[in-house]
Amino acid sequence: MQPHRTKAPPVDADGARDNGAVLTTVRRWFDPQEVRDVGSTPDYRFSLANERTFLAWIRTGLALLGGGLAVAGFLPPLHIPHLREALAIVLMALGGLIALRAIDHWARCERAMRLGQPLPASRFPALLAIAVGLGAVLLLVAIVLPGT
Amino acid sequence: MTQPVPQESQPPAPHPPLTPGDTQAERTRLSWRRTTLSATLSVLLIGRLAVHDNVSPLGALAIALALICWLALMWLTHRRITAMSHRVPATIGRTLPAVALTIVAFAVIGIILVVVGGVVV
Repeated sequence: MQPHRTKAPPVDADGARDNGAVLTTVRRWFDPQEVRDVGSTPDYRFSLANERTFLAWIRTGLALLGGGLAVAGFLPPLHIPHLREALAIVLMALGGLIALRAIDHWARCERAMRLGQPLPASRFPALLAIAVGLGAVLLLVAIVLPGT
Repeated sequence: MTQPVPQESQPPAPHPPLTPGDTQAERTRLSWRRTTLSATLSVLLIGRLAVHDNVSPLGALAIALALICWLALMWLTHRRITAMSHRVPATIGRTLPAVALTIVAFAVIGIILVVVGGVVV
């Protein structure tokens, strides 16, 4: 589901050792007790910063979601059939994916802070930036080319 | 900007006391508020999409579900902000996964609206 996790450097050795790593990860999203039982409570400022980072990602997801909704609701049909709908769906799916990734990253950061481990490295921001950039270029080409 | 120097005579407790001028809780509260604003905008856009031409049964269902999710998000935010104002650090429980799920629900509602609308038109 999220390829960045399998490719990411194995900072979370505990998760990598697990056979059902994905299931364990998902369980950690919803089971605060499991996250809270390991290690020691970090300075609350770090936890609040982690929470704000999560919320910032949620807003990023909401922005893409809102962009997709606006494309579907306000954009006139484009030259290429169904391009408008495809763009809207991709943007909204990306928004939902970012929300899921936000909770995953939050849980992993919280766990790392409790265990005194380095914060999890992630390629997701880079991948997202490349995807959005490429999408913008492709879209520009798709819109400009038929007009010329 | 003058940074208040923390005068810690005793060793730091597991939950260090809120130092004067510490804006962490306030910044987090404002972050929650910004998030609810963004979510409200998304719900309005879902409503716009749902009543594009007329209100179909699916559109009404979408609006109802989106409103429920929005109310859930408002409730979660309110609960979190209240907890933070009473006690820092406030335990967070399952609030954040629930928030993420409401966003996913918005995305699913929007995608269904576009897919069904595209098939029907």
